[in-house]
Amino acid sequence: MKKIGLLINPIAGMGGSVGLKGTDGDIYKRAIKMGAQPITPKRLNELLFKLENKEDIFFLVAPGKMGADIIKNKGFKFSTIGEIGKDTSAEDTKRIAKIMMEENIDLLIFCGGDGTARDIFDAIGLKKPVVAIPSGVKMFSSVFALNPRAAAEMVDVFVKGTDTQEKEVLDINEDSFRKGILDSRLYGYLKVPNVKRLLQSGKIGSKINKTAAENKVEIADHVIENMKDDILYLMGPGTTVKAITDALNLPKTLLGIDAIHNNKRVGEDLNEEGILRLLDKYNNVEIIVSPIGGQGFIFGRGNKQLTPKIISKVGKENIKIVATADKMKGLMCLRVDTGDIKVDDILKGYTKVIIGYKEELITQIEC
Amino acid sequence: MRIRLDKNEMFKPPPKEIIDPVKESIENINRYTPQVKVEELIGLISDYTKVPQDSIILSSASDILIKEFIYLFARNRQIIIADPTFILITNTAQKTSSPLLKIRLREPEFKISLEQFIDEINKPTMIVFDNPNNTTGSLLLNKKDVKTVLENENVIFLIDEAYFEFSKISYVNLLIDFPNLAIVRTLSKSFGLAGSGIGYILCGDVIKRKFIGLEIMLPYPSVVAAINALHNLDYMKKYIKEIEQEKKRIVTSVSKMGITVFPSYTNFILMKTGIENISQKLLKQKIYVHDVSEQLSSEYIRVTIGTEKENDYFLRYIEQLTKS
Repeated sequence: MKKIGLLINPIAGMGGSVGLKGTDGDIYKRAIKMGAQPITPKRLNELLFKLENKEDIFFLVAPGKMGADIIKNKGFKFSTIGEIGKDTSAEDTKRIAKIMMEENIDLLIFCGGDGTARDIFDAIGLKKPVVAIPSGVKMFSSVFALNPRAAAEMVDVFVKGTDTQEKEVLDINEDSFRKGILDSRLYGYLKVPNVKRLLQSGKIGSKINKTAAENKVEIADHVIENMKDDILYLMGPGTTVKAITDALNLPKTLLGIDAIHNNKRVGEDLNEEGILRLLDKYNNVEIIVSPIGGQGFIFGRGNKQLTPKIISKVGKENIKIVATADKMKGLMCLRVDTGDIKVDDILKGYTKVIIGYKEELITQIEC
Repeated sequence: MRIRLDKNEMFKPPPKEIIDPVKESIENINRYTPQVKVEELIGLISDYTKVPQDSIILSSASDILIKEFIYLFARNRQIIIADPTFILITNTAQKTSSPLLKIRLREPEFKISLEQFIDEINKPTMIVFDNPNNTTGSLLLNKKDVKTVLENENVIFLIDEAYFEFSKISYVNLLIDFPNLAIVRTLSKSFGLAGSGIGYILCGDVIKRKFIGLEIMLPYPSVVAAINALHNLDYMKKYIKEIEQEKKRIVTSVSKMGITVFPSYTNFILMKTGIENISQKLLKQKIYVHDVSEQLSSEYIRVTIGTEKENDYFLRYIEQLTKS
């Protein structure tokens, strides 16, 4: 029997139908005035309807409209946990998620958008796996399942037993988004169940995937083997790049840019100014980045500190891209959105991505 | 009912003219395969391919030949392959200690352009492409580009033409000018002899010499099946016509369901269904299709053209899935 936490953000997604592009802060009150209807209960219902292993699950559910109202009278085993007031907020999500974690849940199902994903990350980080039902206006984070049905499958697979993988949580600036500008940064990672395919009997035996963690170690080995003395390496955000610094026994700001030189960290969580100062000091510089955001952006999402000025100074030939094979298989091309069209144009064309030890993939960068 | 549309096999067995002699050959199963029969088979492959007998390496199944080729030529060379490609090519290349460069094929055409890798072949390189590509069904390179690559002496080039009889595109006539080219083929697909496992490489002397020592005893029934298949080419041509008709019917039907299909020069179709984990869902109905989730994503499947009845069954369930 798996103990699974369940909470929904009852206001998530309400801004969408009335064109408000989100419900962060107090915007949801405007959405309600404009006639917006709750969306998340319906999305949760879809998941509950599709669950196949409900006999093997005991739910710990957030109270009232955050979950209990929806799950009751549907034949699920559950108990309610925590308290909420009339209006719910991000604080309720965080508090209840934390209580669920203290109750030692095996998995947390939540329903919402990017904002809810950020709250869940703040509450539980990588300590427990999650299944995220997409229901927000903005869902740029790759942590979300494709739809509630796919989320139900993910829960079923988890109940039967599977490993997990890390997926990105993005922070989208809602004010900019309303103006039509996608301003995102990498906020953190959540663990999601790895939906493995059923292995069919193949003529030659199908290749069993390496785990993402093994793949990252291979990538790190390859990069380190090709590292040279006297080159300053600007290390971008993300766990694939962090695997390289881990292998070097160096600390790394997971969501920021660090600099290393001759096996020492010489810059930590750098901004543009800090990076430019280092570029004045070091002649030979390479940037190591990994695509971010599930859309294949190597610049312009999650690493805005690497400005067009810095990218131009370092030069296209000194940019190394690393990504797990699993991440690359879903990407038909890579993208850039540096904020400077001329720099984007220079970066366009074919490039190599390090996807394993002595293994690279030729793919295309488009704008 | 169990439907196997996952291995790109021929949808029905070869005719009596092939099966009966194979049955007879079983009577002599206590004997090794007579060398004269092996030579007869090489002669027939030579007639069929228009390649001299001494440019043919025969083996049990093309898989062994592809593996052997990669192991023989990987040393001190980087390897370039397509992504996705025949999984055996990827697996074998990954087992060598050579640097591996994969070229991403992009939908909808899934082609390779010279521009993608021409700058990479200025050092010793082995290229292994399947043409048509196994996963997408596309033709990867045109003849002009193949020639340009072969003109570079750094390159040893193996082309897997397992589906040549369907595509009718071959680079065999380049063998005479380019000793760095090898072509591997099989009788498992269009000839319907997957169970007998006969494959062959066509190549020049320099490459062939490397294979000395790889003489593999071919099972007598397999040799008999291959000889009789090559004596009766008409059945193979007839089967291919039937497959093309069924392929058209399937493409039309699934397109109406909103499924994207990609042009295929083979006996299978790559489909983009928009349904996550589609192969698992079909499996619940005992419909086996090739799961390409490791190469592309779980919404894609590679479906072999089966019998009319099998294809109907597949179409019925995939339609249900698109509606649910």
